[in-house]
Amino acid sequence: MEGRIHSFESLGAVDGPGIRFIIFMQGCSLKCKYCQNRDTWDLHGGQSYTTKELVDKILRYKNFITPNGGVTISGGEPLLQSKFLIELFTELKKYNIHTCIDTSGSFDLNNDIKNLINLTDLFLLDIKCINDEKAINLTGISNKKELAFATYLSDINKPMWIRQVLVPDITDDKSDLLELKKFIFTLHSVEKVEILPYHNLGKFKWENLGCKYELESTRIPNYDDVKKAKEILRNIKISKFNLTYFIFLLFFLFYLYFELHNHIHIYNMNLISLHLVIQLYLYKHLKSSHSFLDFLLKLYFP
Amino acid sequence: MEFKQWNDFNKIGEWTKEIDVRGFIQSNYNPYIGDASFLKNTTEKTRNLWNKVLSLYEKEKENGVLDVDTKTPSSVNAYNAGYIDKNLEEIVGLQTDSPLKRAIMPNGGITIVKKSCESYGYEIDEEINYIYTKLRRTHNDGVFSVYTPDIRAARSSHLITGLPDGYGRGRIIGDYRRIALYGVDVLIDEKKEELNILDVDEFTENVIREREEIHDQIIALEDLKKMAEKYGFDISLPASNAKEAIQWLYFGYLAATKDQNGAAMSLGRTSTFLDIYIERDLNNGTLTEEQAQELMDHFVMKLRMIRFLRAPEYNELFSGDPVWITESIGGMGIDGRTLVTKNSYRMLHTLVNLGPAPEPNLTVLWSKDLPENFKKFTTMISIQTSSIQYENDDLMRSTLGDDYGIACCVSAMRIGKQMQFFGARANLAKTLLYAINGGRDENTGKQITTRFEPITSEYLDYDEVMNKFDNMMDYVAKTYIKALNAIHYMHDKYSYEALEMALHDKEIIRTMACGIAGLSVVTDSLSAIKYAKVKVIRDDTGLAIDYKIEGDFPKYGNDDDRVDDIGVYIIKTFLKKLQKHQTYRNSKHTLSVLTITSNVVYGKATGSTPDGRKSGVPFGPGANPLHGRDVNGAISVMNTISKLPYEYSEDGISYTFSITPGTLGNELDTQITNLVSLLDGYFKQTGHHINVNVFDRALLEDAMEHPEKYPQLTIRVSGYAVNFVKLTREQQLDVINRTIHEKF
Repeated sequence: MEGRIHSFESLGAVDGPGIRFIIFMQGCSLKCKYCQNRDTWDLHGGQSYTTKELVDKILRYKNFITPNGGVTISGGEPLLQSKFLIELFTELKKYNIHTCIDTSGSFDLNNDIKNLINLTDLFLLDIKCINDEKAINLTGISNKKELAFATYLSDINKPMWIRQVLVPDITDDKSDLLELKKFIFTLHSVEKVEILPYHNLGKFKWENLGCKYELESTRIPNYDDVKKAKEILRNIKISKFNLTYFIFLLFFLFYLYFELHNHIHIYNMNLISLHLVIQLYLYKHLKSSHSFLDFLLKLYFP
Repeated sequence: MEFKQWNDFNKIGEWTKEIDVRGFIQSNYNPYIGDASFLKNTTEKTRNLWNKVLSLYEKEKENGVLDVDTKTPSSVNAYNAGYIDKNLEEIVGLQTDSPLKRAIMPNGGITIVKKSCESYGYEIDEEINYIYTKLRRTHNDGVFSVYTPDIRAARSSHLITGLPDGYGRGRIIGDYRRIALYGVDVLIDEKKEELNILDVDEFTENVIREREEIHDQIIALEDLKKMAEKYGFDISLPASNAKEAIQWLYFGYLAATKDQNGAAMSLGRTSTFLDIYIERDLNNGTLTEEQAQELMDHFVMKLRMIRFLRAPEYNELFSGDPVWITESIGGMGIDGRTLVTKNSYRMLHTLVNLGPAPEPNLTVLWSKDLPENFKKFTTMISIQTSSIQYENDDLMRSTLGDDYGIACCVSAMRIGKQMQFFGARANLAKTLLYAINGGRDENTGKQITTRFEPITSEYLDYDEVMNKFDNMMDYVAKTYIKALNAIHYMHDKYSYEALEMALHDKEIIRTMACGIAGLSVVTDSLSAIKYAKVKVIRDDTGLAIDYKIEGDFPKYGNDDDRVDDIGVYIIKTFLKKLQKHQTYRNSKHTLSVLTITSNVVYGKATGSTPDGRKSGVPFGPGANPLHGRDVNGAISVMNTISKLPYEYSEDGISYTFSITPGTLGNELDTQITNLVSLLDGYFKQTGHHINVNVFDRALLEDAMEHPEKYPQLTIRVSGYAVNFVKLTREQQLDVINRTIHEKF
C-alpha cells in the first residue's frame, strides 16, 4: 500500500518519549486557524511512499529510536490514512519499535480506526477546545468526535498525552480550562497533559500558499500565560492524589477502628489494605494515578 | 627502577622497568561508575584567584593582548618565574614572567612575528630582527626557499590552503605524564640510551638527523628541570603526591608552550592518570575531596591562560585564538573496564566551577559501554555549557588501543608513540572548478595548474566531469604532498619540537595528515551534474563562472545513498591518490574532513559551484552539509556523515551539531536522556566526532549574525520544525525570546 507523506523529521524529542522519527502525513480534515503546517492540508499533495520504503527508511534510524524512543506519526491528520498506518505499524511491531500518533481524534470509531488504535502505543491527542462553539469556530468542526475518541482510548486503557494549544483569547479562558480539567478527570489512561503555547512560525506557509492568516492580530502567549494555564491543569494530579490518599486513609482508619476497638473482623479488610499500599506505591513511583483511581472506584463502588 | 615516591602503587607489569605510563594506569586506576554527588564546588582560594584572572581577561580585551615581550625569543627556560598571586596559586607556572604576557617565537617565522607585533601596536626588537633575518633562518623562510612555482600558485589561489608554512604545525602531544611518574632524570637517561642505540657503523643521514634531534631533546629536558627550579621545584625525581603530580605534568605542558606556538597544543589524556595520585592521597588522609577539586580547578585555570602571539589573519582562519588544549576524558579499556574515574568528573566539573570555556578543549571519548551515570553527567554538562565535544571511542580503540588522545579537535594518536605532520587541507570544491576550467582560476582567470583541456559543452556531462575531476585530483594530490614534504622538512630543521618529542618513544608512527575542505559542496555539485541538468555560464574568455541548475537532485545530509555514496567515493579516491606520493620521513598518509571554522574563509575564496552555491558563500563546516541543504533533521545528517569511512579518513571526520534545549526535550531529565540516546545512536552508526552545542541566548544571537556558522540549527516545537537561520530576523528574535524563557 502507499501513503501520502508531507515530510520527515529525523530528530524529534518532544512528540512522544525519547528520540522520535516523525512522519508528517499529507492531508487534513480540519481547518485549524492556528495550523503551523498549513501546507499539509491538501489531500493530494505530498509524496507517495510504499510501506516497505517507509519501513526501510525508519530502520535506518533504529540505533537512535530504540530502545527509548520510536516513531511518531503527525501531519496533517494521520487517521485519514489509517489503512496505510495499520500496515506500517504491523511491520514496525516486528522490530519492537514504539508507535505514536499525533491526532485530533475527530473520527468515527470504525474498525480500521480501532485496529490502528490497537497497534499504537501512545496517542498525542490534541483537544482543540473543550468549548464546542469555540472549537467549531477554530477548526470548522465540532469537538464531539474527538472527545468520544478520548473516552474510547480511556475505556480500553490506551496511553495518551492530552495537548491543549494555548491561543490567547480563544482557548485560554479559565472556565474552559477548568472544563477541560474536568473532562481529563474522567479519563483513566492519561500519562501527561501538555500546554503548547501558540506560535506564528508557520504563518509564512499560509502566505506562500496565498491564504489569509486569520490569527494575524493574535498575540503569542507569554511566560505567565503558559504558567497560569499549566497551573490550572496541573492541579488535576494534585487533587487526585489528595483524593486517593484521603480514601486510603479513611479505609485504613476504619480498619484500625474495627480491629482494635470493636473486635469486629471485616473479611478481606487486611487484603484490601495491602492492595491499597501496593497501589499507592505504584502510584507514587509509576505515576499511574488514573489506573489507581480506576482500581479504587471499581473496588469500592462497583 | 625503584622510588619511594611509588609507595602504595601496584608494581605489577613492566612500568617499573621501562617507560610505560599505560601499564602504570592499568595496574593502578580505579574505575568509577557512581554519580556526581561527591563533587565539591570552588574554595574561597579558587574564587579569589579566578577573580584575579577574570580581571586580567578584561584588561586583555582592551587591546587584544595584555603585553608582549618583544626582546626575548621564547624557549623552555627563557623567562623568570611569574605568578598571578603567589599566595593563592596551588599550581604555578606561566609562559612568561607575567600573566597573559605573550612571547615571540621567531623560529617559526620572523615575518609572522613582526606582523603579529605590529597588529597589536608593538615593534619587534632591532637585534632580534637582525638575528632572525641575517644570521638565522626560520621555518617560514626555509619553506619558501624551496617552494616550487606550482606549489606557490596552488597556495596563493587557495587550491591548497591553511598550510602550516607560516605558523607552527602543532598537533604533537608530549606524554607529559611521564614527568610526573618517572621524574626528568629517568627520561634523560632513557634518551641517552637511545643515543647509544644510534651509535652505529653506518652513519647515514637518517641516523645523523636522529642523533641531533635526541641531543636537542636532552637539552630541552635539562632546560625543563631548570625552569621548574626557578619556581622552587626539583622535578628530576618522580612526583610524590597529587599536587606534585599535577605540577610536574603541568610544567611539562607549560614548557611545550614556551617552546612552540603550534596550531594545536593538546594536553593528552591526563585525568585518569592523575586520579591514581589523588586516590592515593585521599586514602592516606593527606588530601580531601575539596582540595582535590581545588587542585584540578587551579590546573585548569592555568591552562585557560595559555596565550600565543598570532596575526589577525590567523584568528580569522581559526575563528578566534584557539590553542586546542585538548584533554581526552573517559573511554573504555581493552580489558572491558571503563577508564572513567572520579577525576574524569572533576575535570568536567571545572566547567561548572569556573564557568564554561572553550579551553581546555574537553573531549569525551564515548563508548556505548560507558557507565550510565557518566553518560548522564557529561550530557548534562553539555546542555549547561556547550563546551564538550565527543568522539567515538569504540571506533578508535579498535586501531589505537586505550591510551590514545586527541590532538586539536579530531586527530587521534597514541600518546607518546605517535605524532603527525599537520597538513591543513586541499579545497576539493575548487579542484572541481579547476577540472571544469582546465586549471584556470574561476575568480581571476589565471592559469594556476599546468594546462588541462577545459570542458566546453553547454551542459555538464557527469562522466566527462568525473574524468577531468579525477585528473585534477591527481594534480592536487601531487602538489599537496610536495608542499607538505617541504613544510615538515623545514619544520624539523628550524623549529623542531625538542621538548614535546623528548616525551615520546624513540620509534614513533608519523602520519602525514592531509585534509579535505568543501566535501559537501563538491559532493552536491557532482550529484547535481548527475541527477539534474547543470548549465554552464561562461564569460567572454570562456571561463565558467556560474552554473544554472534545471531540476532537483539528491543532496548530501539527507541520508540519501545516491548522493552520500559520491562523498564516500571522493574520500576514498583522494586518499588513494595521495598514497601514490612518497612522504617525508615515510609518514603514513591520512585524511581528515574537519574544517571546524575555516569553512568561511575557504568559501570566500571559491567561486560559484555547480550545486548552486554562489561565489564566496561559506562551505559547510567539517563534514556538515551546506547550510539549508538538509531537510529531514539532524539525525539524517548524522546518518549521512556516519557513512564517511573512518578507515579512509583516520585523521578525523568532524560534525558540528547545534540544538536548542527545548528541542531536546521539555525538562532537563528528558533532555539528558535524549542527548544520551542521540550520542549512543550516532556512535553506533560509526560516526567519529560530534561537537554538541546546546544553545543559550548568546549562541542564538550569534547565529543571527553569522548564519553560516550554524548551518543546521533546527528549532523544534511540537509537530513543527524549522531551520533557525532561514527565519526572518523578527522570527529569530521571537525564538530567542521564547527559548530564554523556556516557553516551548
